[in-house]
Amino acid sequence: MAAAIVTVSALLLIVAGAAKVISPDPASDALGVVGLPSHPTLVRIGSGLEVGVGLFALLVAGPIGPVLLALSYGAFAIFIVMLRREPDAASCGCFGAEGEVPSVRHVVVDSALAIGCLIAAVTAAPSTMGLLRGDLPLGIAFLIICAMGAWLAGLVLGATPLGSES
Amino acid sequence: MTSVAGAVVIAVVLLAVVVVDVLRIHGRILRRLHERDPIEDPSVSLANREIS
Repeated sequence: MAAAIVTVSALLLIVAGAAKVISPDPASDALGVVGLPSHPTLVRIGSGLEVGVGLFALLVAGPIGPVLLALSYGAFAIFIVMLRREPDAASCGCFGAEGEVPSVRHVVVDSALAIGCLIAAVTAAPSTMGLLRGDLPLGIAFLIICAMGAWLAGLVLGATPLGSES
Repeated sequence: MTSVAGAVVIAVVLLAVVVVDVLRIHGRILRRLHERDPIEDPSVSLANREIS
């Protein structure tokens, strides 16, 4: 379970980071609302780091990747809590689009992923690459199911009009 | 195998949330359509006809 949480978290972080590298303005606006540095170039750099953390967690075995993921998702949860306190906050821009509501669901999912990644780090859960090397067909099945999980998590968090409706 | 089972559990839980979302949005659309163009209840319409 912990290995799956790490892989889903890493894939989701890569997608969200890449989306913000392409379109940093909604996230930049959201950061500005809570008084954090919000220049689009800074957002692009931070989003590039998100992609880097996601790739690192997927490719490198050991506890560092899951810990970095846990810190990232913990920071996102705190950011969403701060954003929800601001009356001007219309969108969180997590996936580089307008209209992504900073909902309680964001806080719950981000916190759950952060806790899951911490558990993975503590219990020395197998890495994605380790699973692929150990048993290739099973590893590929694992990766495909995790990719579906990341896509569904994106829907749940409002990466599409489906999620942003709620 | 345990990792694959874990991934399946996560995907199923997230799928359930998405299905609930779809049903909620579907209900909301139906409600809006009904508010815009209320469907006449046939039993009420028949009762009105008998009174008149």
